[in-house]
Parts: sequence; C-alpha cells; structure tokens
Amino acid sequence: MKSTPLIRWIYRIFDTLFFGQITIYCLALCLPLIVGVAHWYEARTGGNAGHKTTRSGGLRTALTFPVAGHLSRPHTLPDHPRKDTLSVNPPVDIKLAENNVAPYLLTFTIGSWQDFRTIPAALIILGYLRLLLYIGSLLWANYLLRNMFRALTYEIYFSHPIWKRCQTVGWIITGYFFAYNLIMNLSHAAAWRYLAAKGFHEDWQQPFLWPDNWMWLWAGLTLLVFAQAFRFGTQLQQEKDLTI
Amino acid sequence: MPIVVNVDVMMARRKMSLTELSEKVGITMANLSILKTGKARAIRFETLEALCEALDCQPGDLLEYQRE
Repeated sequence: MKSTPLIRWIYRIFDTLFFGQITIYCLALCLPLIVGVAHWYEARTGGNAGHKTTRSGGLRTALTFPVAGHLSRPHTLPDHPRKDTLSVNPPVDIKLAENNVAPYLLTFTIGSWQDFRTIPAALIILGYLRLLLYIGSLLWANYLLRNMFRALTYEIYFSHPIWKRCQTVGWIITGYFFAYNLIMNLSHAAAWRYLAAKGFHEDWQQPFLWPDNWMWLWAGLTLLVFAQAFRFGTQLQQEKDLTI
Repeated sequence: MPIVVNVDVMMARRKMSLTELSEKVGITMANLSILKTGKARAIRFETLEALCEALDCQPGDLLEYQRE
C-alpha cells in the first residue's frame, strides 16, 4: 500500500512548520542582542542613549495582561496626561481588549532594559511563562506530529510509536488548555493587584477568566480518542502479524 | 500460553530441516521461527493443513495443551 499524496502533503506542512518555528525562535533569541548593540552604537555616536531614543522610534515589544471587571471612571490619574495611561515612563496603558475574555488589557510597552526592569517580577514571570508555554507546546506537538506523519508516509500505519505520539500530542494540547487558563487567571489577579497599587479602583472585579480557547481542549480530546483508535489498530496489527 | 506448538519435535522425528519445511509448506523462515518459539498468537487452518501434509502427521501431533 502506497501512502497517499495527502499524507505526504500534511507531513511537508508539519516539517516546514517545525523548522520554520525553530528559525523564528532562533531569530527572536538574537533580537535582544541586536537591540543591545544598536543601543550601544547610539550611545557611542552621541545620540540620546537610553529608552528615550528607543521609544521615539526603536524596536519595542509589549507584555499584555487581561483585566476583567469594571474600572471606576475616570481612568485618568491626576499626574498623567492621557486617559487610561498608568505611567509614561515606562509606558503602561489600559487598553480596551478586542476579544471577549476581558474588557481591558494592561499593556506594558518595553523599549529598553530600563522599561523592562520597572515591570513587577510577578508579571514578568507570568508573561514569559505564557510565552514559553506556547512556544514549548507548539514546538513539541509539531515535532511529534511531524514524526508521526513521516512514519505514515513510510506506510507504517499501526505501530506503538504512532499511537504513543498521537496520545502525547493529545495530552500536550489538553495540558496547554488548562495550563494557559491557569496562567491567564494568575495574570489577571496580578494585574488587578498592580492596578490597585497604582491607585486604580474597580467597581466590580471578575473573580476568574472564563476560557475562550475551548478549541484546544476539543482538539486535544479528539487526538486522545484517535490515539485509542490507533492503539486498538496496533493491537489488531500485532495479532495479524503473529497469525501464521 | 498453554497451547504448545510441537513443530520442532515433528521436524526432528521426520529429520527435516527448517529450510526444507519452509519450502514445502510455503511460509517464510521468519514465520516458522515464530511458530517454533511459541510467539504465534494464532494459526490458520490452511497453514496447519500444509504443515500436516509436509510432516505427514495429525494436527494433534503439532499442537498440545499444557496446564499452566
């Protein structure tokens, strides 16, 4: 039996995704180094070194945290020029969220190392934990799916590694759903604490964030069911192979 | 498994080698080896028939039930 073009095509997709992801992450790891060198060069050539220069047109990234509930209005603090602006240096805003998980997003714009250092440690840890969870889960799941489809292109349909990989991917995706929502809820609590420390008061604070990524749970559970089907198929295949 | 396949006993009685039996029965050496080592989960009637014919014996001579 020859593997279908569809399986070969899916394998190529996962193969490209896997190596593409690795390339993007390697480039992303190099980015802070490039920014650091750019800052150093600006400082040496007499430009306005530090975050002021960076903020006016340099590379910037942002850490965002959901804030669900209702903030007391007006959102403007006495010494801040913009509505919803918590701080100018570093720039921290409360923005209206586009999705339905939370009405607000607490956004820290990071343009320099000084900006980064002013963010509370708990928020940094939660923000980057979320990112690492996403990168790690996606990379691991892609790797396993790539290997699974490679085995399928070799016409190995029912074998122990295939159903095991399928099961592991199922658990990764299901685990991602739960871990992501746990981190989001912890971030939500930390964001409210940060806002309270900055003098913002809520009319009403939502006790927890309801997940909006149910698709991950369904995908994970479906893969777990598929894994059981592959496991049964593997048992049948073994029976067939050992029938003389 | 309490079912024991006595192919090797019958082969020794008939003074037949594994290669010779494999050629006569038309099954691979690997599958005959699975039968001899007791790893087989099932045996087809047609294989049993071919073995009985090649070894000139009855199915009862090839299969034995042993209590565990």
